[in-house]
Amino acid sequence: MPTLLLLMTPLVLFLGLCVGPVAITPPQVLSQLPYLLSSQSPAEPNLMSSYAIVRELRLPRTFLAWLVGSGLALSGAAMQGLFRNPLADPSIIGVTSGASLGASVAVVIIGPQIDVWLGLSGLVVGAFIGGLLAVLIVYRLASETPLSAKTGSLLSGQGNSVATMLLVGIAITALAGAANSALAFVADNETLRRISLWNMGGLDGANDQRLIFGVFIILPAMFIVWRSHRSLDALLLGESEAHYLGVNVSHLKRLLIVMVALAVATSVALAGVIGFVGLVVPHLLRMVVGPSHRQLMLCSALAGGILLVLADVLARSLVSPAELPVGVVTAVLGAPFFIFLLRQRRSHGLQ
Amino acid sequence: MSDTVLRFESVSLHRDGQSLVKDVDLRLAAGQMLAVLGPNGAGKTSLLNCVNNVSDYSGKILLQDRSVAGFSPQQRAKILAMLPQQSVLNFPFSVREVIMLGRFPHKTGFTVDTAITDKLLTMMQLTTLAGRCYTSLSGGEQQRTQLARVLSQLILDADMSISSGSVLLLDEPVSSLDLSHQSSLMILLKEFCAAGLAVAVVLHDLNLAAAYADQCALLKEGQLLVAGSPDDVITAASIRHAYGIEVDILAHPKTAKPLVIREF
Repeated sequence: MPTLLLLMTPLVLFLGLCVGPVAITPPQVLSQLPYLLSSQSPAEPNLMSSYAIVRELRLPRTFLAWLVGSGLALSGAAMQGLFRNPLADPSIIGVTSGASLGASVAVVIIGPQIDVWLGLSGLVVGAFIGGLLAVLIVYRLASETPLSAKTGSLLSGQGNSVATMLLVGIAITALAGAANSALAFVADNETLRRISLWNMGGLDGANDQRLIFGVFIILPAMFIVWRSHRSLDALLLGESEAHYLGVNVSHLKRLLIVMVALAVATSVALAGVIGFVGLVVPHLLRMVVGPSHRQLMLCSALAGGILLVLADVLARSLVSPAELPVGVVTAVLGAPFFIFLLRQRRSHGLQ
Repeated sequence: MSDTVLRFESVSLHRDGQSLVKDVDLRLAAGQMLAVLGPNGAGKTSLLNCVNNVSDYSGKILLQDRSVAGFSPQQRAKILAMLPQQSVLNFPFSVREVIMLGRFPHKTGFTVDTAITDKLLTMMQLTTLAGRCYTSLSGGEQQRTQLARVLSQLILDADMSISSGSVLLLDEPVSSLDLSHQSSLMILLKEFCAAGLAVAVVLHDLNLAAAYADQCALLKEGQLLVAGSPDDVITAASIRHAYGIEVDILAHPKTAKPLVIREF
């Protein structure tokens, strides 16, 4: 399975470079590859315009789609392990709703297109900060909430229980959602449309700055999460069991929460709210490769990247030259497919 | 006793204003099996939980003459394993994979881990279930799988050797096992004891405790009523005191160990 996904990755990335409203044939893109790799524009004038489209628009967009999909799916796998719940997704710790609120605040207060930092717009920076702040609040509140004997784990003295964090996460998500609605209520029509489009996810803002920002945050965070695969496996046995096995449970929880928050806040900041990928990709792959996190997280990262590149290709070709929000595509295609697989699985029986 | 590997010194545990364990002094020697007995709510589980430092107890617990908190998590896990009463595992691991999870603290590599797992599968009579999904097993099969997992945590190499002074804590390990698997588990544990492992096991079956344990400790309402050999602990008087029921104690016709006969 990982080999198959690994082989598909360059093909799908190449497809991402070939598809778009301006027709550029695959051989043409292929002839540009040496230039893309050496980042020198071709000298022949007939290649120059298509090179500009591929280099400036499609390349950052395709790779950003891969990075975001990959980061979301891997984060989902890690959160499902941490919460020992195959229906958890990265937004469970409040990061998505926090980022959403941060983006709205930025759009309403300073306007969407003004560069505030390193060529990144206020919207991106606002979303990134909002996402991290929300997770920080959830984590702190969960740590300071005394646990009752019923919900508290044996390890209550050494950090917070994931059950409390789940509940606080739900509360913070609701609160941020309400604040978001309040902002939408006071916003003018243009701003409102911008906020709601962003909430559907989209990669149309992709550029080199965003791609570099993503590469420097999402990739290291993904690597650190992936390295915890053995501890995550042990954690599936239960928090006390993992503790007896020698896992430093509170350290592991903190590490995973911070890294997932970084990866997801960055993803949401760069590409808006994209549902489905973080929940369903690891869930489906668990049926194929089993629950062991070494394989599961590797395959999730590869499949999440492939899925989002393909979804983005559809998003910009289905109603070309207009574009669908990519979050809509992932949900419309993914949800029925997921239901189909669940039913298929039931009729064949488990194992 | 110089070969004491686990020592409780006036250990008490309070939670939510309740006193769960009161001033318990107890020692466990290398190679011995200690049966922890007592009615529901006597503090048996709470006492075992203190060992792994998961509860804030007062008093001292020494593992190989050192405070448990002084070990790094990995150091500790190689010489101290614990099987909780209930484990919920909802993810579709195979039986073999669950046992392999016990290898977490060791860096012995896949080949050695597989060899150890194979031997444990045989010992726990799980070989035919090795590829089965854990969640599809019966309660007793799950319990045997978890037992194999905690045993694999203490094994050092493919020769199945264990570090001297290792301690295994088992909280009601036979609660879901049939009679035949109950005996074979106790015999297997005795074999590990012979290799130097110290076992503290919570049991409800007094006859099972009398037949296999070297030492017994009887708890009631957090207090240690009596500790010693099965003959000293399993008496009509102590059982009346702890459980409030009348029993007759006979000598087992074959082993002469105490045999508890209930009056119905």
